[in-house]
Amino acid sequence: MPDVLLVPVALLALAVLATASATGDRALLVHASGRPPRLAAISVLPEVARLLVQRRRTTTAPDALLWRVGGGGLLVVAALMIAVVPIGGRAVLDNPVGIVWFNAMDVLLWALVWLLGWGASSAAALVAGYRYLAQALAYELPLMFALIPPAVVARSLDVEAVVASQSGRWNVVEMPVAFGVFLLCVVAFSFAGPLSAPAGSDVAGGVLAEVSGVDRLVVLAGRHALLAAGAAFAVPVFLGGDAGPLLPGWLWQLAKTLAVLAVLVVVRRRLPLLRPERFAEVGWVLLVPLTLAQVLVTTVLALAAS
Amino acid sequence: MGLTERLLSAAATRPHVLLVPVPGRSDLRWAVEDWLDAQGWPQAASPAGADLLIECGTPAVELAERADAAWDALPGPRDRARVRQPDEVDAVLSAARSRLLDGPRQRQDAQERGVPVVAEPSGDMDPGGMDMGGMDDGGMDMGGMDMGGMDMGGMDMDLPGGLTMAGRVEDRDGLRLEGLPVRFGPLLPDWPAGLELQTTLSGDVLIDSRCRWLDPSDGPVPDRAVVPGPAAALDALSRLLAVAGWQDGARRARRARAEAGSGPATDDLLRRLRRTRLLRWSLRGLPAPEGRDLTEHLNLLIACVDSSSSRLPVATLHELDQAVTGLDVAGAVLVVAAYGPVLFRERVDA
Repeated sequence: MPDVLLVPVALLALAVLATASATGDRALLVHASGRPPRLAAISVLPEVARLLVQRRRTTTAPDALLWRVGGGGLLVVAALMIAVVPIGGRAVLDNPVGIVWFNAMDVLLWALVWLLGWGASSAAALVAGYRYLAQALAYELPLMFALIPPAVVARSLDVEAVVASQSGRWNVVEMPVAFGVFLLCVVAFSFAGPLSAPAGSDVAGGVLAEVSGVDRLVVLAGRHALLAAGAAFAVPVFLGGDAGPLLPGWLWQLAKTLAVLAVLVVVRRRLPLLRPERFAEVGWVLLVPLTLAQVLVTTVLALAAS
Repeated sequence: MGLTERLLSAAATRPHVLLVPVPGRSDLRWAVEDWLDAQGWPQAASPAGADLLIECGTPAVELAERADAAWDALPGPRDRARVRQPDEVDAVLSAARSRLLDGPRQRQDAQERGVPVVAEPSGDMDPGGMDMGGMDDGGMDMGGMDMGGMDMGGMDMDLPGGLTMAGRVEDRDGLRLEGLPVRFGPLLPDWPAGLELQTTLSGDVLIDSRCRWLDPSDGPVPDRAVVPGPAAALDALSRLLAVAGWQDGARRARRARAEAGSGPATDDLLRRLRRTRLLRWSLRGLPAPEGRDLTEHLNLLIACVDSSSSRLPVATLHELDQAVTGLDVAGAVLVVAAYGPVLFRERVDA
């Protein structure tokens, strides 16, 4: 039974984190251009206002239903991802296989971003859809393998059990490779920063090439929300959830989530774009063996400890 | 309505700009780009994301047609302006922004566009008809990247919008897959001015390519800004870095270009470029002018900025065609970004 009272809390948390991600992105941009980071400059409200007042547009013979489903689905998936993150000890969805649920949601993104590209009836968006699938093939296996070590240590796929298993030591200390790969895959499935080829300016904006107005706002907000949901999920699985001395649990969780989000925002800005061809090399030749080795090491240590 | 006016004024703090660079007037493009950087106005990647269409000079016939098509594709609120002299950049762009704030004017523009225009779906390469089909939310798919009519020998089936099926071509693995004729047009960001690349895409891969200049003139077009020297190399660098996805680096290169290659911004840029290994790794394996690798080409550009002993390479359209064929879209656009500035030089020198 989903905990209905927590739904508005979770959605509010997602909205706040997504706004923080967008604001952080703007702050870095303003700082990089050498202008002082005043509040008026880094606020995302002008962008939101601009997209609200902009007219929507369409193309010749798009698949309108699938196109808009692809765009709106990003926000829905982000909300479903944060539904298994325990807030104040309880998650919206009390799911005994929370880790697999998260993985299933990010696999949904394959279909959604592809539809966003295909439904637009435009060569630019179509090519971008292909690019997302190429990237997804590269990051999906490493993501799955990176989520296994926490489950092995906790002997359960339930997120709350994973939090409980970190009472001695946080997972990030025991499995740093899995944590690093997980963060990279969060950046990948929200097609941000170095892996933003599906929205790249070299194909006239990719999946953003034909959307304007509210549709564009929904897609851009969806990207930030996915990044925020990924950061929120990393905290209970790798960083001990709401454990911490002195301060109340929810404050610790918020601080940790914001810290992870800050790392993701900086990574997004700093690194240059990786071509999907190049990232496929990285994903298969480097990340898959690395994460498999991590799974092996963690499992051997867990067996030795028991 | 008060709310719309307030949203408009909030929206117009940072309008997104789509540039139309005109061949031979790089000085105007540089002036506009520097002004946009100083104000913090981003450049749009496609007409769908743009509020302002700015022409850097007076475009000739074909380029003007593309600019008009992009203008039709801007969703609105929108405005359009032309910069003729470098010193009128500030006035022109500020005036364009204030016209964006004009609520009644924008509303009238929107109403005038709502009239549907139905054109005969023609059978040739170009779905040029503004087939809005009665929808009054705005523009057509006529961005910088044109979905040229899917008509490679396909039968005339009754598809929506009067389109036809894509033809079949053999791709590089010998499979018969779809072949989509696509034009990479002159209005893509950081694209060589006045260059059009016609290609057949099979999935993500360019099967063949034919480059041409829009409005081919009889002789070379004198480019008022491209004097051989550090500034030209910095311009080439800024476009390559922007297409390679390092927007920060591209901005620094533009700032270095504004100080003509000697000053703190240039030193800062060169320091960062020498340090970056991820960028060089991502550029490896792509062809560049004069038979080099794209990483070597990057090093050559750095050397051109640093000292006057190195010179920029030279290339022809035919070489670009051959370099680009068989690459995927991402690689092809990078290669065009590397060849573009030196194609221009060849036009000036030849």
